[in-house]
Amino acid sequence: MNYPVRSAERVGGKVLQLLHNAGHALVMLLEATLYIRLAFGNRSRRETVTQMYVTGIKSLAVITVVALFTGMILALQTGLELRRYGQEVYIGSAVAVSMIREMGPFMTGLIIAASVGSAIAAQIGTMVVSEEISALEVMSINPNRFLVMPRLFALAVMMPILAVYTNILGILGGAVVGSTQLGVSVQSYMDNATQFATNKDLYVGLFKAFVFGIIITTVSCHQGFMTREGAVGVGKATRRSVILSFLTILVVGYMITRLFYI
Amino acid sequence: MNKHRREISIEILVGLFMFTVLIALSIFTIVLSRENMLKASHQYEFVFSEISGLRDGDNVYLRGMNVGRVKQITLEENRVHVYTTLDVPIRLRHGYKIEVVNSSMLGGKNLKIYEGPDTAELLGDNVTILGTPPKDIIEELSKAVGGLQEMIESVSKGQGTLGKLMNDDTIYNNLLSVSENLKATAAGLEEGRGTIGKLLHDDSVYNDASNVVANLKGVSEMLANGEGTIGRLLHEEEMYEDARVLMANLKEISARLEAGQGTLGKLLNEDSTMFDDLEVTMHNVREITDTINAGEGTLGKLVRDAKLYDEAALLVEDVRAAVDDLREASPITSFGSVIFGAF
Repeated sequence: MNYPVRSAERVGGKVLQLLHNAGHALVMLLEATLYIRLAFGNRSRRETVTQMYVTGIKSLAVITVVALFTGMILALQTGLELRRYGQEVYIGSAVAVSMIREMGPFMTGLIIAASVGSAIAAQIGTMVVSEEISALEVMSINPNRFLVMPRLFALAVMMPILAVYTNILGILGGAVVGSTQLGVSVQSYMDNATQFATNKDLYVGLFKAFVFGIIITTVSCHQGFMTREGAVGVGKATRRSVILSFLTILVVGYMITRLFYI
Repeated sequence: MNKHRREISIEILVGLFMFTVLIALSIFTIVLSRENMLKASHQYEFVFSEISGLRDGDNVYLRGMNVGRVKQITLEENRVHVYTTLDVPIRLRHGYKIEVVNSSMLGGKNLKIYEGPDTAELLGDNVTILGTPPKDIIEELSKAVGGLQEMIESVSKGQGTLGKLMNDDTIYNNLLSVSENLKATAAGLEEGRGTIGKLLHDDSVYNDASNVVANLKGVSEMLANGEGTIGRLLHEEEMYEDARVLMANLKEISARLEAGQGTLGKLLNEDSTMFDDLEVTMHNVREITDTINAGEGTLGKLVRDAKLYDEAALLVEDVRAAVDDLREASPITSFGSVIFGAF
């Protein structure tokens, strides 16, 4: 076979693989969604709560640090520029709107993708290479219901909640920098912060976080199920899940912003 | 058992976290909506022809204080209806103003309420409150820039005073000449030439002025001490009293004159009897003098006839001679009188 034919065959194979992966991920997501009603059933309740605990409570420390410093950096950078025009009092609105609309859900998504998403991919990948998934199937246990559905539920619920937490801490971090570094009183900062941010901003942000939660679960579980080649494959799956989650979060975040604000 | 307990504690922890964040979300929502549910609010509707980008949630200011926010904006029958929620009731009077103003140079709008002058009458309850059409700052700036551009063009063409100032050298030359003259004048002043130069350099004027001031001081001291006529006038009551009496007398005299009393009063009065009498008298006097001048009558002849004078002179001489004779004879006569008187 000559080179062009081989190249075409390779590209075709990649496209087919991509379509197969997308189809598999979508079917997995739909199937898990169908089982969501059983999230607190007798067989899944424990796993669902555990996943919520891992996603929410176990991530609190890192989210606290990241959220506080994100708000502080935003306030400092924006405030220093605004101070050139004597308008540093507006850092409240700058930080609040940035955090609520974009930075809160986005930073939460990145942290959860990096910590929880990678863990999901690694866990499911290990189960695949150790043929635990096959064992489940032999026992007529649907892996999507047993593994994907609790994680999907946990991330879809916990992501918006964590985003609210990130927003609050980010705004507080901005207030700390505003009052200590820029001479903006906490009262002025909070007045200004609530003046420009709206409930629409808040709920669009929470919707983003909800979508990011679904994306992280889908990408991570799918990469886990697609794991091949033993331990090396697990590592690859983990890396791919983080990269794909990041990229998808960025693209989908932009689309949601465009959908609601333009 | 321990595993079961751990699961329960995990569930409690997750539930507590979710519950806490959901409460925070609720508070966040209320804070962002900027609605105080515990406080009474007052709804007002304002009607504008145009609102220049005012949005839901924008602040409403009354006397510089944030008293509420814009709740809703609707377009109805070519008019924009702005519904607001205020923390305080407003009492609009005739002359009120509802304006859409810029909140800062960076953008944003606010609604500004001016209730009207305190002395004006209050508006009725069911009156449609009309807003003032907002000014478009960009448009105003554009007009101003256009005007400036025209001005710059006319200046560069040398039109108008400023244009001539910028383009015509004559004024510059004149200014240069004035400057040179001023320089020469300043040099003259510096050298002490002319009156002002002497004023600046010669101490005698200062000394004279100082003496004048000293003299004035002495005069003022004299006045203060009641010395001299003016000093006495200033200090003595008696002078004042005399002056007052004099004024009273003058007043009385003028009153009498006004009333036509006394000779002068009658003369001044409209009654012409006295004047007529005087006129007749003067006429008679004139006739007498005319007769005298004409040498008529005894007095006239006395005045005009020289012969009578000569005779009178001779008569006087005769009388004088007679008197002299008598004087010479008088001692003998006296002696005889004494002798004959003794016997």
